Amino acid sequence: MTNIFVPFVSAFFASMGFALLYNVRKRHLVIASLCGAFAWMFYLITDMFTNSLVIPYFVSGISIALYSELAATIFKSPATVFLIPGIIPLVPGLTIYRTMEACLYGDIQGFAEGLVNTLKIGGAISLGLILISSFFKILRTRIYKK
Amino acid sequence: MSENITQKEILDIATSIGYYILKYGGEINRVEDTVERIGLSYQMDAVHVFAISSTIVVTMVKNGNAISQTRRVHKLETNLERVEQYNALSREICNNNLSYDVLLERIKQIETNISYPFWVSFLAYSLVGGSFAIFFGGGIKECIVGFIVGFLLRFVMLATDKFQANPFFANATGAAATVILIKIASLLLPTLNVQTTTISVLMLLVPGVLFTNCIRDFVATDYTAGLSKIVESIFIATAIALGVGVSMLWR
Repeated sequence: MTNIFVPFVSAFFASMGFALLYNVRKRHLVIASLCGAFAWMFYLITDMFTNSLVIPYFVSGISIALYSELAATIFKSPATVFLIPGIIPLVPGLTIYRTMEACLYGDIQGFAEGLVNTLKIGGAISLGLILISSFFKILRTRIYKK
Repeated sequence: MSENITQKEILDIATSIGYYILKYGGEINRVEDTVERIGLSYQMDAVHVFAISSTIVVTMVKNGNAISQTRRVHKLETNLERVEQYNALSREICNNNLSYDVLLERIKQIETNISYPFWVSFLAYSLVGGSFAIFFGGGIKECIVGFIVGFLLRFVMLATDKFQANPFFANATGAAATVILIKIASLLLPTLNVQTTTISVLMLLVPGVLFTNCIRDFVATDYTAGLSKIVESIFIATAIALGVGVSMLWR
């Protein structure tokens, strides 16, 4: 239980820190931070069942987008408000940093590997996000027309 | 078109709202969509919008008379509350067309509204530094050092802001200051895991969100906006790696 609980709480507070930096409104603060915590939990759970690098990121990308689109519908505010704090625990910040470090120290192999991994992670998250948001976009236009 | 607003005024308002949403971190898609909706709700014949992360160009056509306006976005500062408020304002415009004076007043009101007091940014930096230390598998020591160094990093970033430093220089300085502060802390606490702590504080600077957003732009077919963001994130990451590398010389 602790190996899910501790990451859950730390991801929650990390997302909350960024939500404060990005001026998320007080009444959305907890909801937006929970988005990041749940996304990381989904990542960890998916990671137990697969050896792939990208699939956990893709699944948690989907969970973030679903969560933020639902929250956006309930609170009548744009999905970005919940989405940006939500992707904080997943973003490949560390990988980008390691990649540029390898580049500066002349470790070409490490640089190439890091670059490919960064692109894979970024691509997996964004594909998950786009998949759900386009689905919701279609759904909304259909509802408006009726 | 309602009587109390001219084509020029509509263009001005729509471009302002688009500019602010762009500046405060809204997606390119949202910016273009919002400006187009505002224009069409005032019965313009056609509205053409082009936005990338540094510019927005809007042209509105009415009775064969086309006028356009351009705004340059110099510095992006993410402020999701204002994005939300401008989004609500544009929805209101689409439902009932407001007059020019009311709109100017509303924009001014959003711009002067401050959501959090100044000290909250210090708390946010500390919170990120401390919680990422736990997140990356550190213990209570790493958490406390991350918390304090995050707090101090805010001072460094404020100083670079004050001198209007170039982003490359600002990020390199921030990274170097982080490494040096953690080295000082490790002199006091010899068992501190330096690498975990450094990485967790550096998460405040690394352009992870920027990079993910740029891929999102690519997938949403805004290629130009995505390209400029990918260059920016590589640029910032290089600056951070450089800052860390320089301060590693001191042992």
